[in-house]
Amino acid sequence: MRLTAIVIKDMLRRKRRVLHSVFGVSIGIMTVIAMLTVADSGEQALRMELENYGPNLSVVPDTARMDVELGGLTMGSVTVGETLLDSSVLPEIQRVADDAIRADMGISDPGPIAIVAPRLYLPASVGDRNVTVAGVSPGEERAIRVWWDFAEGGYISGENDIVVGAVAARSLGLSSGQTVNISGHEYTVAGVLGESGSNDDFLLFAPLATLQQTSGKGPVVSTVDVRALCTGCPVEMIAHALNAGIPGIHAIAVRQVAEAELGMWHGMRAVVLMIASVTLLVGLFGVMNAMTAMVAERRKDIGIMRAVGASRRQILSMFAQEAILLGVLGGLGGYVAGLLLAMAVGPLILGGVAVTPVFSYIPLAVGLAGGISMVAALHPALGAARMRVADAVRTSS
Amino acid sequence: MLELRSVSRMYGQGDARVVALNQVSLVVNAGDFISIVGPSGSGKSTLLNVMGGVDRITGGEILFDDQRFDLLSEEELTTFRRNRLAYVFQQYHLVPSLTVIENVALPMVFRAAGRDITRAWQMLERVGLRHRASHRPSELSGGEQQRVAIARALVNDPALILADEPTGNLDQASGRQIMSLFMELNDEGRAVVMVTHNLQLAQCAREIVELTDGRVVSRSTVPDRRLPSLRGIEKELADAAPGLANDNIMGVPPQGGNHL
Repeated sequence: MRLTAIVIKDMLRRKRRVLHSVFGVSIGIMTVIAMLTVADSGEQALRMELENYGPNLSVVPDTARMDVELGGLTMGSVTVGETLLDSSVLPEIQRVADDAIRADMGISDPGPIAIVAPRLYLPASVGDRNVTVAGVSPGEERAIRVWWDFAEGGYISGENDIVVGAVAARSLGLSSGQTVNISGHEYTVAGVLGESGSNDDFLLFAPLATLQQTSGKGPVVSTVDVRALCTGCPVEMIAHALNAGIPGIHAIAVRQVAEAELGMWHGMRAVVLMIASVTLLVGLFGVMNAMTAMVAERRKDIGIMRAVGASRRQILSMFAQEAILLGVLGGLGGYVAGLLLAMAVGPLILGGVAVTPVFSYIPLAVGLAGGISMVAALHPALGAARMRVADAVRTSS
Repeated sequence: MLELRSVSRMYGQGDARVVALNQVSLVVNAGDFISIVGPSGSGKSTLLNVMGGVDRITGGEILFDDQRFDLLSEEELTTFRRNRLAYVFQQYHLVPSLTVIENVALPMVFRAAGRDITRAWQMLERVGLRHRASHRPSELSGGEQQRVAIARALVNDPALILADEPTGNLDQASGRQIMSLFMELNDEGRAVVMVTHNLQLAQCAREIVELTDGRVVSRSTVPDRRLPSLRGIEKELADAAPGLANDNIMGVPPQGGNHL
């Protein structure tokens, strides 16, 4: 027989008290686990969204706004500089971006790493309706807009194909297979995009080359989206390299915005965890109460054990073992309850995102619960160990 | 073996001060069987507690095998108590969550010798309760519980057994059984110090020490130690509390405790 066997037998004898303590620990752990699990799933969803965000960088012509003044009065402002980029800048952007990635990540592969997708925005008309047509490089555009789905039809496959945004299609009464005359040029609607809530809903997408040619604008583009085909790419650095290396352009790291969102999410998670910690603290006092009551109940037993040869250290060890057992039970119970709670409320909080279990939180739950039980047991256990044998045995008579 | 030199034990301070033991000197040698008698509040249990190291003295000194017992630290006292002493209480004090054999083996567990509990089985056999090994204390009569407590006391082979009113909660027949067991253990060379109210049972010892107001007022040798007859015990009880003695003749145990 060992000390642990005595502890377990004693716990089995006091099932109600033990359950009370386990419940107290579980509640605290449940809150923490539920919050962590929901937060984790939220972050995962946000990260996935980030992965699919599309461009890491947006390159636009470098323009500046200048205030127009007359006799000390500001008369408005004018845009200074080119509003379109020459297509010749595209290979430059590709080269600078690739070089920056290679240098930072130690890649020796000479092939293209970044996807460079130019767009040319032009005002046009369909019948008597004004529209905006975006000329795109079909291959590159599709590689960046991975989230595009089609309400009907398919993607651009010929030089006179267009894809129409959801709202634009509704507004113009267009559907796939139809022919449409845009500013004097006949296109065939290849497909209609599903609604995405972005500007794409209002645009008509035509092949860049066709648009450049039919509009008479020549080889120019309005913006260039750049997406690096790597995770953890040094977006900031690429933007800096582009701005420094190519005159007349301005590169912005788009992902920064999303990263800031992620940072906000982390901040929220910290606040939520703080609230959970308060719950844990309340649980701690509950367990401390239960432990104190348990010690009071066992005063006689502790006295007997001390009288028949138990040292103070052995009495403390017995309480520590009990605390660990309570911690394991409370931790596992809390984990399961927390997971169920997260699965129930998570989709409501995250707008339908399913919560996935994080099994690596099991050691955290058990460890945390064990720690709480230990802290809760410490004071009563010390009191029990210090108890005078004569008093303990006498008061029990 | 054990020597108390002018031992005092006081509780409280100032006007509330209570002198439980006042300059008590006593020697217990190997093979002694001493009964400590005296009225309630005379300091009998306190004397037993300081002898067992579960209560600290406030004056004098205690030597156990020529070593200053009263100067040992709490942990040293625990080890000492575990290896050299054993307690038998009036209320048996068995751990209710453990079975009979587990209770007997308990001191071995605290001595880190709980893996092989052969000796616990032997001691249980000795007190005639091997067949009750897997029972819980609550399933046993008072006499049986006290025999289990004695088996537990013997499991670490103590040199001195300290018994505080060991038959106080038992009916006469069970009390005789227990006293017979103590006499047997004493005959084997073990020292026994027993606190009792019962003068008839005190006659089982070799010596009787009488305590009054925390002082030893007499120490006498028992010329012809023997187990008292049931009638003798009843007579003493009848003198002390007539109603209770009548109840006992009808077989109702004193203090409404457990019985056979």
